[in-house]
Amino acid sequence: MEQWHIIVNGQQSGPISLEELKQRIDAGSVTAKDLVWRQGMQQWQPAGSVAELFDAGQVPQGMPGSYLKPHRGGAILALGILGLLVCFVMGIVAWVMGNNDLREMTAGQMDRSGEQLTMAGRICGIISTVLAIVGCAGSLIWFIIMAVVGIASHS
Amino acid sequence: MTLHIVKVPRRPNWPWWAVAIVAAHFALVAAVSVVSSSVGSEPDLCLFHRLTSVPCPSCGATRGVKEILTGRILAGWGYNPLLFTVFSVFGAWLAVRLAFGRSVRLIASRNERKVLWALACAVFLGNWAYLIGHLR
Repeated sequence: MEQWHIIVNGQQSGPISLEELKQRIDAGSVTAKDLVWRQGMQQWQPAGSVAELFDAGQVPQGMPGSYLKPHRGGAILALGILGLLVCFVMGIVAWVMGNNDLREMTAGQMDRSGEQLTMAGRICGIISTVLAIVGCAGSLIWFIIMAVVGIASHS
Repeated sequence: MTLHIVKVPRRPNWPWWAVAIVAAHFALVAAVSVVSSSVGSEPDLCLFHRLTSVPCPSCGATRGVKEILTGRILAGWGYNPLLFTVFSVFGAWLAVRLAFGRSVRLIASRNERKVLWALACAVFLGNWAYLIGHLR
């Protein structure tokens, strides 16, 4: 039997059965914006986005009761810029976070007001990663050429 | 503002290509560092430092790791305190997640998030100023 975990007002509880969770939803102690998770889910999700718990018609997008995760556009852009200026590892983090968040925005699970910031951060992340790969590959080729030239001049 | 311990899938949902690129980068830096040490010359691996003569906010990592690997943990940490603190916290978080499937969730209001961002920026700039003073 599926066991569910829930976070209501920041408090985690569970495991509880699907029937018990539905009873709590009917009683109003769990709302569409509260987070739920069960084995097999990649991450916590708002209960309103889980088809087993709420019918699509019960939670119209953008209406009170539906939950949109806050966007992380500022953080992603900051990481993308740091990836360009400091270390490409931050750029790759921006790239991955940007991909995930844009996917959630398209699916209507995240606030779309940060779409431009997220996109900009993702692009900075891609550029910094590509530059780093090209730089590493160039250094490696140069290293190999110098080693070959060194060996040839000795022999 | 509250911190909650929440249940999450043990394996983080990171794309394999990103992990592979980062791992390849660190392997390359380690290889160059080992080879250059054996030859006796230390190349400047930081493009930012080479262009501006100013240490970047992540400078000191390679030297710090070398010190830590030889047992001089405090000396290594001193090369870049923020970076090694972040690495330690990240390592602990990853170990707990892989072992127990638990993570930490921060619940903060918009204003509290702004304060946290300001604090993070101040710590970042403070650490950079420290690096400029110590590594230049």
